[in-house]
Amino acid sequence: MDSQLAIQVEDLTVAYNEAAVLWDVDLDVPAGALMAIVGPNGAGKTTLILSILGLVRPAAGRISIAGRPASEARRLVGYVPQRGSVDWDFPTTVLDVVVMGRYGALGWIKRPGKVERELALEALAQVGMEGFTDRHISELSGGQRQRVFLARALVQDASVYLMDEPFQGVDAATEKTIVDLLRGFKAQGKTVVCVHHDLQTVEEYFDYVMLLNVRRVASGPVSEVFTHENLRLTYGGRLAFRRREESTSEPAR
Amino acid sequence: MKRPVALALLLFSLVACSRAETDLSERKIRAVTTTGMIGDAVARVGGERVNVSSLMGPGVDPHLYRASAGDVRRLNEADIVFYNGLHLEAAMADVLQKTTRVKTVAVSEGIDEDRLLQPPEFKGQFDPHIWFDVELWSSTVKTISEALIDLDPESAETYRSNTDRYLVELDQLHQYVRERAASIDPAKRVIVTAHDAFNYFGRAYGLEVRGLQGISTASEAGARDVRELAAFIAERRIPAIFVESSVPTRAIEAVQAAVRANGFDVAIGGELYSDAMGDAGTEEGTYIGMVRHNVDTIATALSRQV
Amino acid sequence: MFEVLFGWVSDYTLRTVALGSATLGVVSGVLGSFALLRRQSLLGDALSHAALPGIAAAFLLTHSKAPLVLILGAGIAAWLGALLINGVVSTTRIKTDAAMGVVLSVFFGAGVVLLTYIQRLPDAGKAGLDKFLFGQAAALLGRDVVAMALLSAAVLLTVGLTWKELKLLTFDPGFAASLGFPVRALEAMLTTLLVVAIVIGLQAVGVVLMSALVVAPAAAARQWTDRFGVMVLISAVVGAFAGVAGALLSSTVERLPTGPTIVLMAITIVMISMLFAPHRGLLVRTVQERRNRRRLRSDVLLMDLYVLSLQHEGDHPHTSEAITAMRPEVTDVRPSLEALEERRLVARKDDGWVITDPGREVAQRLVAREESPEAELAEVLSEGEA
Repeated sequence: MDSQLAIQVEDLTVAYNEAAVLWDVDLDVPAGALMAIVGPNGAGKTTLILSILGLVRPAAGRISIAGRPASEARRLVGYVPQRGSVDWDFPTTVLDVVVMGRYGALGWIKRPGKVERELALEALAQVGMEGFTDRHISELSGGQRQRVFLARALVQDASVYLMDEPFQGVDAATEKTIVDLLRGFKAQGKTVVCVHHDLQTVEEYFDYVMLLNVRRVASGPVSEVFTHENLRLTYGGRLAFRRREESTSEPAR
Repeated sequence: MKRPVALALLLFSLVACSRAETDLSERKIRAVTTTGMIGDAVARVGGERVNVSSLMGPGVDPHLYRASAGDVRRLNEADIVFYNGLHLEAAMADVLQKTTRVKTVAVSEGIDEDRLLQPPEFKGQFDPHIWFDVELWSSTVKTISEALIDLDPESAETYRSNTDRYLVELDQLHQYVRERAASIDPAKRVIVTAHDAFNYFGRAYGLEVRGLQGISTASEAGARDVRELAAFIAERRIPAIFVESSVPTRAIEAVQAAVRANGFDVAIGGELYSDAMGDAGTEEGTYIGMVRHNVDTIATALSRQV
Repeated sequence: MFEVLFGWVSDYTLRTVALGSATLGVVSGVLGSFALLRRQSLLGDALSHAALPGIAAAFLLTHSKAPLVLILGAGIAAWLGALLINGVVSTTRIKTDAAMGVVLSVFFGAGVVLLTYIQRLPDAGKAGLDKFLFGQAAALLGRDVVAMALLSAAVLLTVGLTWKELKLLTFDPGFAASLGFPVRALEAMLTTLLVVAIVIGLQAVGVVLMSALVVAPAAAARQWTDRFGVMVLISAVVGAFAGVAGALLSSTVERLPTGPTIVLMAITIVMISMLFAPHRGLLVRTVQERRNRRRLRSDVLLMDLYVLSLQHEGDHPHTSEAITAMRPEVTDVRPSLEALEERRLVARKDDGWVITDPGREVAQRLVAREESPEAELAEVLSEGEA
């Protein structure tokens, strides 16, 4: 267990109904990294996140967070799930959802109070949602919902953040907010791992990347690992993609 | 293709008919009844000639009883079926209707309609609890006798003499009940029970009758019914109310609690056999024993000093 | 009337039945809210039906008709039903709704078979197991109500203590798990509380009707509020109200069984809520939509008339036919014009219609606000005028 690593995954194998979703996956996430996980549909990206969080039982493998077994390090990890994982018709307000991020710190039975409320308001301001405190979550747009989730993650004050497609379907303003937030995390020395769907923005937003398709294809700094060859291996050759740094645009064929 | 089918049909009908041709005088008659009271009557009339089995034993509620597959089989294998009629066996009605291969006899058939009671809430229907008026019950005994004679004419003599003897006993019973009932203080002559099973009893022997539920236990008592009954009991200062062997007791217990809350102490005077008799082999397991037990219990309880 | 409303305090039977029903209403309202938001309302139905064989088996094993024994049997059977549903969903391809349907019918069927078998046993009639099908609220005794109250207090205390955990679990179980909360255990606890709520009500309203009390108060409450805590509170109040109202109603009308009456009260409240609730009610929404549509139509016509007035000199009237031809998609030009006339925004002139000065002001405001082609045209024209 290397404590320089924020997350260390070894030999992770996960199966649903006898079909392998993740096979023998290793991953080292250095502390302070801003990492994207990319891969085609069904590659197991979300499953990997869920495994690190302990929400999915692996068939094999070990996961450690900051040098400790994952199960002991829950407090250190913040999770921003996909927007679709929640029923937005649930009767609650924006502030309420953000305060939920403090539930872990409160522990059992204790009710959230003024302190938690203040923290939530600060977080909402950070994501540009300060006017929405008492708005019902059913009235929010996609981008606004994403920002609420982020605010919720902020109040957790975790040192490692796992996010599942945070940029999916958001407007330009929200995208900027998210990127600023991620950069802010990095400046604070936090580690962020995002399942990311948009290959075009990997180089711009992230400094580390993992290419995943049931097996680990490659992982490491973007500049080293985000190559045509690796992309071809990950996506099986059905990919038209322009790498910004290459002067000649070659479709990966 | 058509010939084997016709042949099979022919064989089948021969077999079906042949059962009916069996000589009944060679063996005991298989009689199946619904309630135990009818079973008792058939046993007394039939004597040695008859093997009686009742679908509903002690403690069984005939209003709610649903026939099982085994019951249906037993009905169809009988030589004769006796049931109460007047919709007593409400949950079994269609089963009885479909038992066409065997002669079914409603023992209430012979009773003249104007001797029957009509409950106010069921227009056009009659109160089926006819066995509590001993005189009325005696006419069903005659109906049973005629049906058995019809089925098995060879033993007619046996049936007639059994019937005559039984009718004498019933007459004695009738007198006994009249005496006991008369011995109760007229002001206290009220029977309060779980459901309206005792209307014929009341009419025949001069007692007022109040039930919590209506004619059938399939209904559910409402809060108003409990209240009204409790108020009635307290007002008339009735010493005792009665539970029934085939009906849950908690409804009457609720009435008792309500009466006590009204400041009057009413006792639960005992258990009456209403829609079923007592255990087989005991005195209360016979019709006569059941009726005697009932009137004794009632008379004793209502004569209590309050 | 007065006697009915307040007499219940002094009358023993009414007091007992009303208190028992109110207790049951509160608990099923609270737990029903969680079930509704977790999309598990059918679970209440499945579990209450699943309780039936437990009652029968308890009687068969102990030959006791003591309510506590029978209710314990009911609770165990319902709990086993819940376990089975989860087991089926997690180990086979069968989804939750089908699993619930299967468990409901199999358990209930088994219960009926056992009851049919039991009915032949002596003493079976006295046990009154049939009464558990539809309940016998009128026969509640003081000690029954005490037992119900104690159980309810335990349930409500538990919910109160774990309020935020349950709220989080209902809204986002994945996030809850990521925070370290034992989601499985919490879900098991919630199911257990639901089972207890159901079992409390069995004596009063029976197996078949209990599911209505789990669903109805919560469904009604959802219509009136968008705040979680308020919804649970309203649900509890609705449940209690249905209980008391049902008890009172069946106390004034003859031969009206109390359990079914309580359920009918609850359903009535749901109907009223569905139709008349302020934001979500059907009636209100229909009226609002119609009003919006009419507003849109008259706005459009007003702007048309404004544009026309800018294109023509003076107050040149246009017939409604002409206007209809301009705007074929508006089907009720005349009534809309008449409505505008009532608001003094247009006036009749000769055999046509023309915009008034107040109408021009309103139209100008509309133009400034909107982005439709008419508005742009009007803007251009009015600039030209200036």
